[in-house]
Amino acid sequence: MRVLVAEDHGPLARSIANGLREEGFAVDLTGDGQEALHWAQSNPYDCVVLDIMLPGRDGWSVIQNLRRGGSSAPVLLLTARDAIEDRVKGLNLGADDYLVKPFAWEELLARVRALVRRGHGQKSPVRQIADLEIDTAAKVVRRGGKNITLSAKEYALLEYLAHREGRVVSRQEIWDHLYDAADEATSNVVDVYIGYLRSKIDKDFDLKLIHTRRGLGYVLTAQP
Amino acid sequence: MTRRIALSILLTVWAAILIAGVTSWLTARKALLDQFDQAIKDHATSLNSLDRYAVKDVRGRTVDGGIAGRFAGPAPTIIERTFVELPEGTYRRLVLQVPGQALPVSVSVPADQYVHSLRWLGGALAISGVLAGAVAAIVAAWVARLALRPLSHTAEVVGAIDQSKLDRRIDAAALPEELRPMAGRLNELLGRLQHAFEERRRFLADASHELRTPVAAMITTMEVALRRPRPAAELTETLETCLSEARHMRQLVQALLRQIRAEAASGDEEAQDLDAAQMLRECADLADSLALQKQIHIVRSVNGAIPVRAEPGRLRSVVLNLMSNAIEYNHPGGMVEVSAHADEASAEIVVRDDGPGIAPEHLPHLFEPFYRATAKQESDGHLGLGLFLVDSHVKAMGGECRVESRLGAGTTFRIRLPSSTQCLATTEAL
Repeated sequence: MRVLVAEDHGPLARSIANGLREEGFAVDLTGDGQEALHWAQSNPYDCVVLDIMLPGRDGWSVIQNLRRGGSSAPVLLLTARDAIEDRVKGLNLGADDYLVKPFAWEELLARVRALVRRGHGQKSPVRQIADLEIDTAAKVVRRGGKNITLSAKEYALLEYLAHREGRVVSRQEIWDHLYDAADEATSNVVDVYIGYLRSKIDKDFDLKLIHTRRGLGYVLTAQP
Repeated sequence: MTRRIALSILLTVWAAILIAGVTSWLTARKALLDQFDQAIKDHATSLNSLDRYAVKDVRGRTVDGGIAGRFAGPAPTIIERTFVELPEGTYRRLVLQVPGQALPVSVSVPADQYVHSLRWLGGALAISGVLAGAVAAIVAAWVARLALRPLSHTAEVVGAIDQSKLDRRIDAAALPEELRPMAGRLNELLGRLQHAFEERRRFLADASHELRTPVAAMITTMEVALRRPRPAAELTETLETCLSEARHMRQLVQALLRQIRAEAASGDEEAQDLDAAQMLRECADLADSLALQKQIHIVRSVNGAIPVRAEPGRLRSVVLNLMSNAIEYNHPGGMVEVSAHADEASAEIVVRDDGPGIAPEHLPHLFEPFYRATAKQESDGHLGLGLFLVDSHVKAMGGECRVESRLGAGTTFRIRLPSSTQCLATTEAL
């Protein structure tokens, strides 16, 4: 899952980015409002964490322009002001959630995850595909009642496929949601991770869930 | 106030009633008496020959009697009029001198009717006077309240104003003309209070924003770091980040305390007539060592004395702040010039540098608290409070602060202060 963090206070921005990366998110980081708008418009983020007081262009303006341009990426506003008018203004302009500094890391993480789910039309943190169970809150994957241990990237790939269950996703789409702009990996790494995931999820089971659509991409589904 | 107005109205009305009552009673009494006497006189003159008369001595024995002759000739004159108390009642006695007669004639007539009428009149006057007095008391209280209602209403409006409702104003148009200037003054006062509160509120909001962000950074950094075991090098980095945030916060807290202290102390120092030129030279000497480190040359273009009216502590802080800014943001080898000149009304202190200049979009916000022209990461420890303090000090001394700047050419700050002679002139005018 790919997240844009737009925050101009360096130490805070770096901590949020590091924390999210350790949770398996691909994170792009910027401290400038103009740049934040540009990035959000040209990349398919699963969530945007947006500070209001940004130089170049404030958070209000970023979100307004983003929504005008038709983007529906979930936006979590960060602000140091907790006046009710500010919160209402943010939500009215099209923000999806609001967090007042200073916040607890767990809360930011939970809200980002909830926004990612909501962005993919999911309310429950637990996804069930045949006998495969993915708990996106606890990041636990089970198949046939048995826990499966996945690396962060493998988990992110599986979660993304699960969000798009039944639909074919191209390598590029997967790459866009799994890697940040600074990553130099090519979209071929997607094939590698699909291979790892298959060996952990499908190998020991008769019902295969991950399918290749030649020339199109991959799909996660219980109906072949 | 209501009681005083009511009381004065009441006393005036009561005095008027008393005077009117006494006057009418006296007038009526005189008129009645005159009429009575005239009737007696007429009666005496019209006694005709058939009427019997009797002349009695002091003991009541009849000494003469018979049929009276007719008074003839000119009308008699009254030479004495008295009331006589007899066992049968009160009598009015007139002594008449009939022209041509040797002895005066005394005529007595019962006066009970007259006394009764007079008593009745007095009673009626007294009762109506008391009633009118009572009505006057009620009316006076009512009128006083009515007259003071706009004042008590204004008091209610002002009483209902607290710091959350400082945008309220007294409706001067609804007040009587005499009270409008007072309402205007009160509204001006409210306006100034509202402005001061707004400024304070904004400053606190900005300050809390400035504190929240480093707190958030520290908490997030530590929480993320604690989520898993980490190598010592990574933990060291975490600690360094937190330490630098904590130092930033300490600086911020100190600056806030300074600001609070500056405001608290603002009443302590008295404005005085002083020579700004002297102070500029002192400040330039103080700034010399800082300028030397950055190889910046300080030019002193101050000639003669510049008399200003200012608080020395504030003025020194203003000049030092501007000079250290000019030195710090200048490039090595640059120049900072301090100059001053005075005219009749005011004096101007100018701090000019030939540094990189400030972009036009920043200029309108330069004196706002926590405003930084450079991005936070590059402002290395600057809190954006220096110029805000400069502006606060200058305003507190009744002056004005302006800035001109061109990118690449340098920046000029101009401080205009009332000159000492101007201050004397205003004091005299007042």
